[in-house]
Amino acid sequence: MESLPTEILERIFSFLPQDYLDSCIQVCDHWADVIENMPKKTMWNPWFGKQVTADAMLTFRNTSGSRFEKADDIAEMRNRISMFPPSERTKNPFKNQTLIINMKNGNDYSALHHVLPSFIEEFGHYVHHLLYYIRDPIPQSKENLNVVFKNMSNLRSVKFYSSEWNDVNDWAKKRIDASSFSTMQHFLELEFLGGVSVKFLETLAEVYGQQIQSLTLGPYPCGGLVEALEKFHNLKHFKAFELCNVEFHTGRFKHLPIRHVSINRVKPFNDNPLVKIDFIGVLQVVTSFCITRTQKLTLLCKLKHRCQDCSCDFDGYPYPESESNLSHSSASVREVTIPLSWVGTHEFWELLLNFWNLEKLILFDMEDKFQNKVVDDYALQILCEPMWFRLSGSLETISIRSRKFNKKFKKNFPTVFICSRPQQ
Amino acid sequence: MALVRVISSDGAAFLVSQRLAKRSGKLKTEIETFRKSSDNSEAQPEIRIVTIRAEILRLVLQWLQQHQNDPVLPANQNEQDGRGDAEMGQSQWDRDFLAPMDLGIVMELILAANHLEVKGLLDITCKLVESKITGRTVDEIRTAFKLKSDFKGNEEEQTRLENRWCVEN
Repeated sequence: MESLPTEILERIFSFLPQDYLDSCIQVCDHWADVIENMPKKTMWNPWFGKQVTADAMLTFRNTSGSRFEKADDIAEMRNRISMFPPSERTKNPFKNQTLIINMKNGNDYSALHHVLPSFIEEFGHYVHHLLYYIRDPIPQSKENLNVVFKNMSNLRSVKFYSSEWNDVNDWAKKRIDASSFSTMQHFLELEFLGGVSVKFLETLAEVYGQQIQSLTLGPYPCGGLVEALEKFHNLKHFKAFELCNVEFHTGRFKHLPIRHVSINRVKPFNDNPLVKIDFIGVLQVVTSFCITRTQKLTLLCKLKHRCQDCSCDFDGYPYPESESNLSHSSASVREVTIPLSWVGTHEFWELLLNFWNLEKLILFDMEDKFQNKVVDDYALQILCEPMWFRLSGSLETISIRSRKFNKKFKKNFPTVFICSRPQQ
Repeated sequence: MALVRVISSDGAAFLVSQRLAKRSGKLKTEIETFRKSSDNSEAQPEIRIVTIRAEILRLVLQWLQQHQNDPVLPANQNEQDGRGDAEMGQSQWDRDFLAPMDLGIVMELILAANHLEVKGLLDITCKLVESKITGRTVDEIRTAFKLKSDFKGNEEEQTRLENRWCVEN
């Protein structure tokens, strides 16, 4: 294997799913070098919100790896299935697998459109997880969506992806109604990366408010979010990307059993005077949302959205919670993820001091912009910062995730740096 | 029927039709070069493949024979996304063809297909190797491919540690 030329190894590795590339990079230096120099595999990176183009229109993943398939016709699909191990083939060829319907980046939409109904008819009830790329050029209708969901009686999660806010919002308004989900009995997770309307969320809550345990939203307009979320009575994980809403301060979620809150890239609606978000304001909003039962907080905001004129003035900014309430509500947070770029700011330490029982701090190089030395310096700065020692005795781990931290993986993988709490 | 004599590195000669041989990009170039340089249009080309031994060359020609009516794919087709016609599925014949081969033979076949520019064969053999990687641990991969870890000291453990977050929930 070592004697194979690089281009052959690249060809072999190109067939491998990303999960196994991660393993192969550990096999030997030669493999690691080859993989490092390969184009990155198709993947969705929720941390950065980037969608890498994918040609595979239908993707099946199983527990032992991924099989990327291009569906030209249903016969080809059956042929593919016949290659699965007999144990998987005879009972459930899609056991624990994900069906990705990529309507956005595929090259041959007509082929997919042709194959989909018959494929879903035959195999839909085996599909547990559905990823749906929304921006399709085919004139879709509610009937088309119902075709997609048809027979998916065992569907557990649906993820609608789009890089554009309007894609999801318009698409959801026009094409999703209660009947679209009517066959799903085990439906628990729903993601909209791109944005949805309040009305859609309310409609969804009416039908699946008792069922959905995990909800992820893309850009969300102001108004109505609290009311809509209140109807999801069993919501345990809530994530928001590109949030434009500051309603979280009200504390009205306290009756919800939310355990994990993830707020990614909060940014203001500049044209709304009530939502003049500044850096500290964002921290206040999010920390106040950390109700007593929340144990994990992921907060990825951009400093550049900091309002210049009110860094410490909250007049006109609707925060009913007092400082003591804020601290109290943050006491249950065990894990916080924030941007690496915050390190070195006063607000960074102010934030950390709010979390009395913090056990793990994850710093993420969101912009993928730091150099090796800079990341090193940040790590040292944390370790040397006197306030570090004022943190609660619970903080055990700092994890820095940056692509620039380790030479072997700098091109392909973010890396982690873990430093233990120094001996006092 | 125009023929061409293809000679392996260990001296074995295979007489095949030029039509079949031209399904290999390398052999096609060699035949055309021979034609241009030869005064006798009836002369039979003779091509020496110094890097491929008889057993492997026979397998390549056997595969070409079976797929002689397939469309010829450009060598660079689908390279952008890294997936060739292997993704589109193998025939049962291909599976039977590859099944008895040990990994060493497959490796030689990959090199031969690459050298002779037989894209279809290259794809299915690479896919076969991929299938032997998928589902295995790092140690199992090393054992299967007779590879030794060349990470120094605790570099390997450090590598694992550094990538651990990738699989964290």
